Amino acid sequence: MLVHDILTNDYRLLTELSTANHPYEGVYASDLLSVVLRSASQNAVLITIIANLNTIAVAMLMDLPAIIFSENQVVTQAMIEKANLENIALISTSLKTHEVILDLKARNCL
Amino acid sequence: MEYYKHFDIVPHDFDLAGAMSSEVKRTLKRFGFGFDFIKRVSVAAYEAEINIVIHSFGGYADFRIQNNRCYLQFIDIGPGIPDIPLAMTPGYSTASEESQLNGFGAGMGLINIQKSADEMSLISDPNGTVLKLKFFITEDSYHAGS
Repeated sequence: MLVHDILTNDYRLLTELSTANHPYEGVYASDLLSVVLRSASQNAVLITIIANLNTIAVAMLMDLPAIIFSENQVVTQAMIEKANLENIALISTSLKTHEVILDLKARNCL
Repeated sequence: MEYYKHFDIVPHDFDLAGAMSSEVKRTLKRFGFGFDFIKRVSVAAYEAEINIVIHSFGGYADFRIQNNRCYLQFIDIGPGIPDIPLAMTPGYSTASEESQLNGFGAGMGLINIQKSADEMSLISDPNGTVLKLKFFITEDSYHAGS
């Protein structure tokens, strides 16, 4: 599966188009970054409401190709620039975290 | 292989937090280490770096590779950890509300560090905290699943 496969009208890619070309394997959802560091698998897509530069740093440390920010969290230009630099896709959605998981499951994107 | 780098860590600057550990990861990747070794070292580096950002009055870190060992040392200037065993209890956290809004304060930091490192030494008093971590470099450290 490619990050690009996640994108629909409900999901807005905030970073450069090329960041969506990466493969991913499953998703991991948490709003506590230490828990992400402990439990997320390499190449998983992170779903979270924690939107700051540290979320990008954690994704970079864990080799996560994409972050889905649920509930329309505000994503700053500094975050987008850092994610482009690290080749991490940032995706924004109005859906809640559990709705994202259900939606991805329904579309065979898990 | 020998390498050394010093990093200053600015307290309460959440935007800069992660800069040191990101560079540690990039350096280990450049040296050809495997994913799991890189993950262990960089997760420990990140958690320790964040602890200084969240809790301390400021500090620094030293990253060294020497004699088939990878060393991380974190030193801050206080206020110290009053009760280390309590701080090592999973879920216990004294992180501020601001830290929690930034996704920290799970009470997992020191636990993640201890699990990641091969050896860990933690000394603290009101004047500051010294955290020393050691990672053994073996042939497996260069394999993806090591």
